[in-house]
Amino acid sequence: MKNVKAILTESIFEVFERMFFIFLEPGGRAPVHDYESAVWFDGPQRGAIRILFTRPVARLMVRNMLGLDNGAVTDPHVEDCVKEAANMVCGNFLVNLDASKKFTMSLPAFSVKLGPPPALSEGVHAFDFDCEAGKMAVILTLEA
Amino acid sequence: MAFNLLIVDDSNSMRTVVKKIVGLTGLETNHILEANNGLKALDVLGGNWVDVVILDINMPEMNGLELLKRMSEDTLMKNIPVVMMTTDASEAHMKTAFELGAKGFIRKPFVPEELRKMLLGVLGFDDRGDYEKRESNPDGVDF
Repeated sequence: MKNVKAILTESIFEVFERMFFIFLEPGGRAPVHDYESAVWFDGPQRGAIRILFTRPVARLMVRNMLGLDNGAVTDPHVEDCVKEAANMVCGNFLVNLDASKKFTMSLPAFSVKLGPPPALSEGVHAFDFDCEAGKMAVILTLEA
Repeated sequence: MAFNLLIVDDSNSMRTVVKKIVGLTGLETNHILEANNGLKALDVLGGNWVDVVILDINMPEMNGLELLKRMSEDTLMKNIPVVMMTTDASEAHMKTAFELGAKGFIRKPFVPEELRKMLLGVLGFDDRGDYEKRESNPDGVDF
């Protein structure tokens, strides 16, 4: 398998720069995230991609993607944008991983996060980022 | 020449973005119709004149490839040009989509210019947005 971490990082940067006009840098873990969106995939490799957002980052995504003022951003906007972000990151990751292989992707799921970020274990890789609005993280789970 | 566009995507945000980009192309639209899954798109297609469809793949109820198959089986709908707009751009999905009649494939995330060029091409406009006219008067005779 190619360098999975490099491929995922490239996919994350591509999606956030092109679709949300957000330029991410590797950063530290936020103590608490506010939202999570997740997509599960199946095929030659099974796993999931979960993206954890702080509220300011999620709202910046909406503002940049839809051209809205901060006061016009609603909870449904946030849910829709962060779900689409997970969908795009997962889709790009899988194509960049191996475009010749057929994967199936779930519809993106959304949840409001309560509590600390998940503990890491074998097969779970975390990527933490900073941007102008705060912190976010991407968790990749690969099943053996 | 104004055209009618149908955007099929379960993301309201993505439909909004596509509408904005279409507005920036300079192309004259008559109606921009929307559906959030394939089943609803079939309803829209059954009741409206549509010149071009922009279609996501990964959607609930009926996904984009299923809709494309249904369209290919319909004598009227099979002639409507479809541009796939999806994150799910594996070679297998692209092959299936083109076999079912898709005219173009655009991968999310995209920049506005990519979608603009794709739409212009599918609708028969040149890169400046002018309709590609054949020379109607090759002999130089003015009427």
